[in-house]
Amino acid sequence: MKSRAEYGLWRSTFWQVMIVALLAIAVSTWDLFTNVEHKDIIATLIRSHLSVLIPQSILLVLMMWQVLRYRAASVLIGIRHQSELVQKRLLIQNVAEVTVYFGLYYGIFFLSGNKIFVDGSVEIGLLLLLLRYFLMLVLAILIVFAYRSQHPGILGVLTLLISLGYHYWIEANYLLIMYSPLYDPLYRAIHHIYQ
Amino acid sequence: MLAINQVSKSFKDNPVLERVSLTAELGQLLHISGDNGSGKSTLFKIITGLLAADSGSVSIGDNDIIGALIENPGFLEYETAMTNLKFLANLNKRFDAARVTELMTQFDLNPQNRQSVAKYSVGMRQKLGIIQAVMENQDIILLDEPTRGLDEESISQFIVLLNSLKAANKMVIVASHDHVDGLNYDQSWVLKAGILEHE
Repeated sequence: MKSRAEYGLWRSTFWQVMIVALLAIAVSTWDLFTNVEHKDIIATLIRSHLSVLIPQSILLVLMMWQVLRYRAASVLIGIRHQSELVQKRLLIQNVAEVTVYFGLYYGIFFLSGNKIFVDGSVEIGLLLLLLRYFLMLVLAILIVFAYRSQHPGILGVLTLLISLGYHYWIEANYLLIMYSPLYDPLYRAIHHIYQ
Repeated sequence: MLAINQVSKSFKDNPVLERVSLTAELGQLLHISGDNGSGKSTLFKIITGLLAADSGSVSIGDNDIIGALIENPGFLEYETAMTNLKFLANLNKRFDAARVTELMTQFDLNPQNRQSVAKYSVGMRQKLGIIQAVMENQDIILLDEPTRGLDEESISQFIVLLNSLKAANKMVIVASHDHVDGLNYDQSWVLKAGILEHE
């Protein structure tokens, strides 16, 4: 039987995963309801600035907080020669949280009954969905380095900048246009698409 | 057994330890005195493996386990004291509930207290730091400024604990800038400008 102390750590890990799950459900549901006119999955979940800017930044901050929590005890963990073990556990937890987040974030849309890839090709659409998931996985792994880093704050800011930079620069200027010309501002202006 | 042989350490061009050597056996109580910044914490970090020495070596007995309180101990701030102690001890699957409860009670900390460590006073954190250094039946115990923030009653309990550890054939090394009355050291050393000398 687990003691109260043992439950203490499991409880905080459980609640962190629950917060991530609730965040994904809330954002995906919000996106579905507020995007009544245009149900394409890429337009709803990838192109939308708000769903990347706020919830995915919150996800990164939550993972960083989790790592910094253990970092505070790193000397006592190091004395026991278990720094590698703790970092491995943090890595597993971060990867699990990103997977739970995107599983629910994408999953709710897939199960909503909407036609999924409306504006562009299925292949490039899937690639866009996977690329964002993999980007967040890489950032989740990068965040674990904050456990040993001399400057965890800089690492935290860097992960946020990479996430936003990828969205506003690489996705907006290249990947979304590859998926559909409808997401090209010039094409939209020429064809008087203002929606 | 602990054998420190000609250990040197510098940070950038600033030498902190210079050819430090020391040998001690289980069952001995040692004191290393020295001013702030004299290298006591650095020496402890090298013994525990947290820092690598520039030169020299540290060796301990094959089955000896090191416990240590170094500088201001950091914990999982939003967890209880018991959760912290259980987490640390279970990293090597050495949690002994009876021993931890006994130590906490001895130091007037309530094992059932659900307050997070973040709300603990300096003295309470220090007690927790001492407890984690000895709770896993460690053989070599390094205590860096262990009485910092402790009240008189707690210092008395600390002396009782150290004497019981010595009686249990544990090696205890206390590093502090002052002496604690009531402790009879087997070896006393002074660390001055990185050089360790007999007091």
